[in-house]
Amino acid sequence: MDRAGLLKGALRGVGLPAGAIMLVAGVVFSFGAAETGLQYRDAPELRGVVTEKRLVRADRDRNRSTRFIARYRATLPDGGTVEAETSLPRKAWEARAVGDEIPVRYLASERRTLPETGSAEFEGSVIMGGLGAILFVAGLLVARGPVRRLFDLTRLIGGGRPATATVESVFETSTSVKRMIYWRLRYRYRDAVGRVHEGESDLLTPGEAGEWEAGATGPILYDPSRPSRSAWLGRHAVAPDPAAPGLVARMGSALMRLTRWTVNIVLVLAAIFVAGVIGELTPALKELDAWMTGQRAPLLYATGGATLLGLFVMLGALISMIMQRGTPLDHTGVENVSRSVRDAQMGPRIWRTSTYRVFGATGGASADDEFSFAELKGAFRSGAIRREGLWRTRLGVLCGAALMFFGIFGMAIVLSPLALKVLLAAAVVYAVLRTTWGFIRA
Amino acid sequence: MITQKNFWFFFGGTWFGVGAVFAVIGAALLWQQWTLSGQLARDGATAQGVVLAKSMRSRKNQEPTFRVEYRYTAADGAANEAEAEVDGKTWDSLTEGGALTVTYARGQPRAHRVAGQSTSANLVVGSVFAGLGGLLAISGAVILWRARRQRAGDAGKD
Repeated sequence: MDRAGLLKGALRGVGLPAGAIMLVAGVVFSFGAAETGLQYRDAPELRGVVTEKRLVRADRDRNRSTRFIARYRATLPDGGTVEAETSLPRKAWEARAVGDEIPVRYLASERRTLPETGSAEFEGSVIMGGLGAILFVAGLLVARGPVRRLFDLTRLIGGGRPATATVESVFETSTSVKRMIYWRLRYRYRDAVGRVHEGESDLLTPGEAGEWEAGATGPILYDPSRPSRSAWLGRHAVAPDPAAPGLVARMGSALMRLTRWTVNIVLVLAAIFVAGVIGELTPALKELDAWMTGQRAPLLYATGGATLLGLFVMLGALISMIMQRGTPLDHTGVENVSRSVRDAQMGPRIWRTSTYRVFGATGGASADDEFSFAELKGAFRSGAIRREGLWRTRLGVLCGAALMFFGIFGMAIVLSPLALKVLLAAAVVYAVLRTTWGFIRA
Repeated sequence: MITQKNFWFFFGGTWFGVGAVFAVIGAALLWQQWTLSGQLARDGATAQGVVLAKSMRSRKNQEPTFRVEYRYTAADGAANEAEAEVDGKTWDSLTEGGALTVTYARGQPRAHRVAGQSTSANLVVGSVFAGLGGLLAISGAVILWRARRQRAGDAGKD
């Protein structure tokens, strides 16, 4: 049996990494807040006297906001005195006069005073503490299921009884890792006394799931003391293939991927550098950049307006297409749409896993469409682009997407520094030329 | 329930509704700026205010914004505290504790402007809201009108 493979399969999904991240974040936040709390507990409250009030004027360089400073002196329990300064909100600063008494907390071990309990620093610590506690509890709840499953599997590997189960269904889940959607299968089996139980596999890759279909039989392990607990073995029933790539080969492959990624980054940086040099050496481009900076507001209205209009046209055409040719989506399909939309909104990442649940009733429809440049040219020639609803919708999507493309790139060009302007403009020109060339040759 | 038959009603109606809300907000902002200008020109009084605090905020690829907090006392004796965005030149010339000139409406001392106050931000926001909102509302109205005409045509055929 491939024990490692079986345990690895149970670690797929979002539960464990998400729970671990939340637990770590919760501990870090709570630790910081607890440290602050201990400091306040250990620091005795003294009576301080305001000795000086001053304000630090704002300027354009280092001090961009007026700061209101109060200096005070407090007498320590051992008879000594301590002087400290604090930055206050304007109204609190105005409310205090030189000679007024104020409460001061003095931390003797670090020979410093602590911010007032109503200050922004103190409130920040309280909020962090609350957030840390919430994250810690949420992390425990999220990680509890996968961790319990790992314990179950360990027990099953050690003393589970082998049996044969019949596959009831194989279905897609709403969990994906690096855009690969995972599957599960549901099975039914009999224990030693003939009682029937149902079980569900851990997450399966599409390849693993593709090996099974409803009605097929496969190997499982179940716990003789609690027969309702079981594990689908699938391809992990046999020992791992000794000819499969080892750890060194896998690391070599990962290293190659990392190298390719680094080369790509270097190429992008080199392109930005070259674009910057071109921009600096061409007076006309510098003048254009200066003009764009001066006209930033109207240019942004134009490009932003084009983006919104493009979005409006494209959305309308897409919804129209879905209404005309859409097929209904089931519950998992709706969850998958939710996941794919949120995945697409995420920034660059090295690794990502996600699952989205929609509770309650769902409704939705999906439609897909594709056509070639040659078909588009044919539609223009034959006049189908005007006569047929499908072609009109396709044209709407195309026009909307083109408007959005130019609008978004236009905004980026207006806002970016000269080197990026040149690079982005080159990308737009390249995309337009390639598309036009493809259209002409089709 | 949205069906293929009534889809364009919902689609046009949604854009019309969203656009109309934006257009109304934009128009209200522009109207407020316009009426304040008129009120100050007709019935404005000036007072010397005191600068309480200054701050500037700069964001990447954007012009910095300059703000001042100040206090002024109108003819009715009531002290008002307010905050305004001013241009960079005015911000440089003002100092904390120093004076600044406030023009306020006699009947409504809280309606005011300070010298060097930039009104362009409100005008820009108002114009963008009114312009884009108007565009969306008109597009939505056209879609609604066409959907209505089409429905009338379909009913005629039946």
